[in-house]
Amino acid sequence: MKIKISSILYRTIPHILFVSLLVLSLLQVHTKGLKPMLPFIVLVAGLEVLSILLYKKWEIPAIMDIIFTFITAWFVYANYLNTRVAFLFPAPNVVVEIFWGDVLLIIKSIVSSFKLLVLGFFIAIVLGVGFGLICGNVKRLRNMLLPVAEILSAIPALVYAPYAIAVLPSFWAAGLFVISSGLFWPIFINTMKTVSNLDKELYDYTRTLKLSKWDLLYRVMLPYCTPGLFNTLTMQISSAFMLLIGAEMMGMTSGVGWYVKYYVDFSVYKKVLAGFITIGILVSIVNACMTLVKRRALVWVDTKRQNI
Amino acid sequence: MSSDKIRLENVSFRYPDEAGKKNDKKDAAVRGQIENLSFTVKEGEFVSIIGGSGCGKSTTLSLIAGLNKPDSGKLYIDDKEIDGPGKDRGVVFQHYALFPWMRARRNVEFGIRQVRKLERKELRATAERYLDIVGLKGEGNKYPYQLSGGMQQRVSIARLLAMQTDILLMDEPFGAVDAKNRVILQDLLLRLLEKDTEKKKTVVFVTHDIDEAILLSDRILFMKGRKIYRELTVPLPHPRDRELIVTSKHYHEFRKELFALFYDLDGEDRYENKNIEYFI
Ligand SMILES: Nc1ncnc2c1ncn2[C@@H]1O[C@H](COP(=O)(O)OP(=O)(O)OP(=O)(O)O)[C@@H](O)[C@H]1O
Ligand SMILES: [Mg+2]
Repeated sequence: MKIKISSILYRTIPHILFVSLLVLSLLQVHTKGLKPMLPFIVLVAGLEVLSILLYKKWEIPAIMDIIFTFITAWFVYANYLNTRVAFLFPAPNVVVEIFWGDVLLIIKSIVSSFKLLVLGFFIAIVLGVGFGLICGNVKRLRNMLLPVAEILSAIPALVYAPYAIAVLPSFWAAGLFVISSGLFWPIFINTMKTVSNLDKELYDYTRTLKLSKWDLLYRVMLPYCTPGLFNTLTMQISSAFMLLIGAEMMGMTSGVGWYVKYYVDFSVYKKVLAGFITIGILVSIVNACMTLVKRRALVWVDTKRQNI
Repeated sequence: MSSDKIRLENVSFRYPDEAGKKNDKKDAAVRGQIENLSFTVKEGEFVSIIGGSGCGKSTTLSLIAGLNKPDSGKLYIDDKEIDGPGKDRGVVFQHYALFPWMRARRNVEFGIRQVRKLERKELRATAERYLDIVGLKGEGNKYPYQLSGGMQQRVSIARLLAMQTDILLMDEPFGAVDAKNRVILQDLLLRLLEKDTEKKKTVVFVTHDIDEAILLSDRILFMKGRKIYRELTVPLPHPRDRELIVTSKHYHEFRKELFALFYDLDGEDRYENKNIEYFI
């Protein structure tokens, strides 16, 4: 009996929070008018509808709990308790209003950042895996380059960003360089190590087939490296964001990093907050893409044995 | 010119140590994995190598496959010195050596593609046929990790057979296969090799199973202490039949002799031991 009550309570918490948020919003409508509150109400209602539609999927209501609790706390604090420094700590309804008004710019920023990040990943993967495969196969090169690579990979790529900006024709190119070079080293090192540790029997089998060098690289070593590659990418993704945002803040004129930096300079903190949330959205998109690609590329890996 | 397909003359081999060096002479106490190994395999002959674990069976096979180069001595195939691996020799590895990123059928197709150019459809059909032969009909779409050890081993056998090489080098190919499939595969191998329509295949077969060795081979090389300790010709006519051979008198005598060898590894005459008598 006790369990039942608590589980009912648990299920209804997000809805209770939703209703109270709605009531609070309507109170705000009373003082501020409908127009500034409308986007927020639409968003909250949208989240509620989503949680009801996806209610069968266990994680969604759980996430909703957190989201609604967070929004409620933020709403109450910003609108009722912290009224004196409102510009430093804008209310969620204000931030949502920003999204509403800036929606095109924000989408443009996300697309721009996403493009830069994907391009950076692409370049780093092509070069890192390409050179990794070649250098991993040549013992002399490997012994020569591994120590160098390990030193260079430890230097944060943002350190040479100013230099890149000075040398390269545009801020955009410099940003791309910083991101791809930051990702390049770990990918390069990992590929090189994996290749040089190719399973002995597998390698012997390819030798009995007299595989051409190209087939060996492309059909055997490349797939052999992919699980390690994805592990590296997953580990590097947060540092990639750091490089991305950092590069965008350093002088680029588009992207989520730029968006935040631009309004920090003007002290428009409600937009800065909107920027933070935008970064969160971008991170989610990138993570989702990564998971999707990974799942497709690594169907052949036994996930019970190998932690991918 | 001889009719020997494979010939080893005084072959010695030692694996490099951890530092990757073959520290010869300097410390003579370290002996090689193979010393002065000599034997021949005739064209169309089925030769088994048996012997205790770690006596150098796999190493011998790797030398014939051309995967390792001997430190001294010579290996010949068709009177030509072996110079690295070749497509005339197919190998079944002890740990299957399947490509984990290829489905079972693709693994077989990949092998075939290296020796013959076939059209897509035909390639697929050929691969399916060989998978069928080893009892894996309908499993072609699975990745190696989705197959049991025995099934993986059968894929690697299918892959070898599909390549239709003259020489088959098999390292405990039925080691992980269950009893039922082992019988099926042994019979399959017998049928396949006794067919005298095509050019006969030459087989070097490593096994731990004495009965398997007797059933399949023309000759058995017994390895012990880094060299061939005894060489025995199996006194049974072809075609072989597992039910018929057990009724033959030769079979039991021969089997006794082999068991005696096998369990006398330490020089003690353990053959006299009651337990083993019972076992035989
Ligand atoms: N890659 C290697 N490096 C160094 N030593 C090795 C290597 N492979 C095998 N050996 C050694 O060579 C010897 C013979 O090994 P091998 O694999 O040929 O034995 P085997 O007869 O096939 O044994 P099993 O029946 O257990 O497979 C063993 O003593 C082993 O320690
Ligand atoms: Mg072995």
